[in-house]
Amino acid sequence: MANMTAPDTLADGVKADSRGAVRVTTQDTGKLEKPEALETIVRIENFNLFYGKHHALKNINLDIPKNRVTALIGPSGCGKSTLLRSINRMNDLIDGISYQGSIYLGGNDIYAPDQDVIALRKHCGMVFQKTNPFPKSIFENVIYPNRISGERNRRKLAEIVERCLKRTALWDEVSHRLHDNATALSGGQQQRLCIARGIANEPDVLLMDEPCSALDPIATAKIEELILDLRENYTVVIVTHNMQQAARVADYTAFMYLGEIVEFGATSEMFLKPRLKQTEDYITGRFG
Amino acid sequence: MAQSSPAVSGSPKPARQRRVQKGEPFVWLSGGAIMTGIVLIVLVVGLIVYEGSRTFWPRDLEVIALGESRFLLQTSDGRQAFLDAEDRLLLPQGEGYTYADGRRYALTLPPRKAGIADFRRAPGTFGGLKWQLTGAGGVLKNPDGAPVTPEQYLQDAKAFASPYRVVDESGGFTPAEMLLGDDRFRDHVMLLGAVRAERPLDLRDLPRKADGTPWQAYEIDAEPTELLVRQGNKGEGLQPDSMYFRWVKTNVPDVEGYRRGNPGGYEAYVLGRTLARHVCEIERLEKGVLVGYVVEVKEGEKTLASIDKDGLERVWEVFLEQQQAMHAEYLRRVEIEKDDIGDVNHEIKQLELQVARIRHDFRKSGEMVTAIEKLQEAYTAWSRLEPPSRPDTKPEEYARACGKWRDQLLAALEAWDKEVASYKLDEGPRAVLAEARKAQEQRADLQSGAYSRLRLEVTRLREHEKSVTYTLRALNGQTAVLPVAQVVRAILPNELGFFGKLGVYLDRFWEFLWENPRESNTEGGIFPVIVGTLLMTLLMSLAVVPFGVIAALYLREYARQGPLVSAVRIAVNNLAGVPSIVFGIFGLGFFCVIMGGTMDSLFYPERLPSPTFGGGGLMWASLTLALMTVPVVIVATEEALIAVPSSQREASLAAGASRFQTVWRVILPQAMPGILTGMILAMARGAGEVAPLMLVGVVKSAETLPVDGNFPFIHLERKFMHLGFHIYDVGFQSPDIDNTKPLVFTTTLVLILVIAALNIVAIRMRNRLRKRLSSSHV
Ligand SMILES: Nc1ncnc2c1ncn2[C@@H]1O[C@H](COP(=O)(O)OP(=O)(O)OP(=O)(O)O)[C@@H](O)[C@H]1O
Ligand SMILES: [Mg+2]
Repeated sequence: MANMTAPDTLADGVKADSRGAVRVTTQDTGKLEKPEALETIVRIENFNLFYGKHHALKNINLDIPKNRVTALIGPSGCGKSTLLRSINRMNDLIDGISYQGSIYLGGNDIYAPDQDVIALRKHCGMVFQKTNPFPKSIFENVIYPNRISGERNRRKLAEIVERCLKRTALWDEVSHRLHDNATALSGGQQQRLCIARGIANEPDVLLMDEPCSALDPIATAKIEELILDLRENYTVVIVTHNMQQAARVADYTAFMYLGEIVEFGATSEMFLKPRLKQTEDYITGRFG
Repeated sequence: MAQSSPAVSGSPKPARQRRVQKGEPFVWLSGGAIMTGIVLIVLVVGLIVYEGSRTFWPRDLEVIALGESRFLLQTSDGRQAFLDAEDRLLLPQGEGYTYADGRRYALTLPPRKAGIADFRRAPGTFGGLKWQLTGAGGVLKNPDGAPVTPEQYLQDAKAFASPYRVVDESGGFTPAEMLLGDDRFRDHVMLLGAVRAERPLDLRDLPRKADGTPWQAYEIDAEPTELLVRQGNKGEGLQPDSMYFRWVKTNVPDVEGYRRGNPGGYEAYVLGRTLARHVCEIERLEKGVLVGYVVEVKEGEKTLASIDKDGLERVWEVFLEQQQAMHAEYLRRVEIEKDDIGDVNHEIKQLELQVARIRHDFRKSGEMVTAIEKLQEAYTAWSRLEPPSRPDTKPEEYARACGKWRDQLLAALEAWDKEVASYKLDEGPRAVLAEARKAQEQRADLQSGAYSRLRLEVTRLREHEKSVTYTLRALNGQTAVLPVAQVVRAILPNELGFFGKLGVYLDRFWEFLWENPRESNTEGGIFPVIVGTLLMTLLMSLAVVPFGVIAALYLREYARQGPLVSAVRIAVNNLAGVPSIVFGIFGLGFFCVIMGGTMDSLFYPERLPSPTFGGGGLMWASLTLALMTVPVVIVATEEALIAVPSSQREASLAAGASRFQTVWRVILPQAMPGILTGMILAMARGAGEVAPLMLVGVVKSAETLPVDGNFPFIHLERKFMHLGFHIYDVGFQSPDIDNTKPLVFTTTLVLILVIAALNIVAIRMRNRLRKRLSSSHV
């Protein structure tokens, strides 16, 4: 890892929105601090997840603030993706998982027995590490979530496509070939298309699992710009290995280690003066 | 492999070992295996294409003189002359033979009959006895009635010229020995025919040389072969009548030795062969080809052209003109019989079934059953009164007679009305009876109207077809008078150039593809066979794809992977290894008997006991094959499903799609090429299958196509013909294998082409899909 502290960008990324810590859980105390002023959209309470016998998430408590970008960082295998996927219950697809605790999305317990998983996922957009556009036209890719919800009105669909592609800064590049196959796009374009697909349904949260790890710096910069932009309307949870990226885009950062949230707080605070040695070591690249 | 993977050592290895590590021998091995496979496939396909495509090429007609003598020698008291292996004379005596000096012939090998050719060769052998000549016409006699002696015969080449006549330069007939260029050929039997096949003779099978050693290849110039000659001329009393095909030997090195060592075989030895001018080959609707000369064409008693007055060429022209006109007439007549009469028949049958249905519906009511039976009886009695028709009956007169006939039914129905009036029946049943009565009336309308009219027309046309005749003269001068309308095609093969032959070839191939079979599948075309195969294969694909895809989807996408699913998967894969005949038996038992029987008793009870779906048919055959090929589709589809990246599934599910939506919108479209591959494999396997089909609906010849213009257009219950079974039938069930063997190859070629065509269509579909799915990075 290169130098973690990038003061300029950090200042830029944080200044505008850093309104203080929301709620902080620390490993040793488990003490919670009351969030300030900000509405919580996803509340994770005492959440545990097991892959068979493997305890992958250990007693996670986390409040994700609305209309902010929250980053999950931590060494590989610490459970970031697992936590992210717990929020839209994508882990359900894996055989042999079990969990305890609850996660609330907008006050609604998504692990309640009567929870409609499909309805839940419609409220969460998701963007994956590996770009995965469907081998359909660009148009069809964007409106896929709307199509499966039964939207038929072509005018409406066209509006959605335009809006989402504009939001993801892809409109100018692809507006003249909306009916070409999406797989013909470049990697960065494909990822932005996936983001457009992720927001086509107006989700409450947008979950992004290392969205830039396969992209070059320019494409990465575009996506980061996009994330900052999306913050106005969406709540973004992003998993990243790139500290600078976390510093640049995230308002809040959670540091995970071995299935636990070690530290959570405003990005500026965490990066400038982490409370725990462990966090500092990780951020500065001394371990992990 | 596991041993070779550990840490790479820095020291250089010997070259051989390095090569082994790179796996080059394995590359060679697998390359060789593939090569062997390709070579075998090319050989098989090459053989089929070569043999299959030359069947219809017109062959030249040759005059062939055989070793067989035209006349045999017998003594004046009627004893046949024989020769032993040393050409010494033998005469039959009691059970055996004796030499001239009274010694008995002691060998078990029967001696050879002596003919005029033997006499010519060595007259001394036959000295001291008075000989007569016997041939096809009995003892050869002089005009004064005295038997001809061999010496007399040999002296007078003109008077005793052979009856085998060919057309010479001037257009007249001359003895064939002139064409062969040697007067002595008149002693021999001659054939006129086309050489259809040639096979080498094994030198070891030839009689040995004079010194007792076998012949060696370097000692002979031309390879001895056996020729298959198609003589044609079956069934018209034209000699020789029995040998449509005949194997004859040629190029045997030492004819004299061969003659002695091969008593019977020498007769089929070719002494000379040559092309004949202006001989024609006539293909007929029945009884195969004729070869010879068309010498006269007549319409009724009037001669349209004859060879004496108008010359060869003119007769041929007139013959061709008449043939075209009359054959067209024949085709029209057949069309009336098949289509028009077929349609009327269909309607009549429907009305009959309507009445039968009513009888079945009211089978519990004695009065109704009696009433309907009386009605049916009245109809049967009436139909026996049909006015007779002869070819010369005038249509108007006949129509009038039929009108009267029709009125007779009214009388019968009135009698029936009176009788039924006395039955105790409610309003409802009475109305139904009135319906049945109406149906019978309609049936009588058709029977006495359209049906009678068409039948009379057909009878007249048939009669007219007989009116134009041609006279065919065979090589031996015998003639037969035959109807021109029966001629399918007539050609002068020896007169045709390359393009002329090509034209005939294409014409024959066209006929083969588009016509119905004749003569129990040995002639004509295979159109219904192709249609049956295509339909069956398409229906099978329609059935097998959804079935297989749903099964695979369940196994891959829905079922929890575990021992149970694995067991099911293994069972499915093993299903592919079950012998196809077992599927046939299952199809027969389950589909035909159980399901078909149930369907019949539910939907077609009035037709029982004759089965509708209860026997084999197109639908059951397709389903049986679908069942047989479903493992292929399941396996291919599963592979295709596995190949869809899980990121696609995640993307869809994360967007809030249900499992079904994911499968339907994302996975199936991407798996489609793989599914089509499965379909292609299933099609190829199904289209070539024969054994199970024999049990569930394929027949040697089906009188109706499974598709026609009558509702519901595709008749799933009908029996049909199939290329695979056709090949078996033509190749192995036909009495005349020499005639049908080439057809086997051609039919196989067509089968391969049909499967290839189906595959190409499917592959194109697949490629188009692939292109749509594939990423085309620009
Ligand atoms: N499908 C699975 N079955 C069993 N164990 C799993 C599964 N997926 C993840 N794990 C385990 O759960 C733990 C957390 O995995 P997770 O994928 O959440 O890590 P991560 O933080 O996203 O790592 P990375 O940064 O490498 O993506 C790991 O120890 C991993 O081995
Ligand atoms: Mg991860």
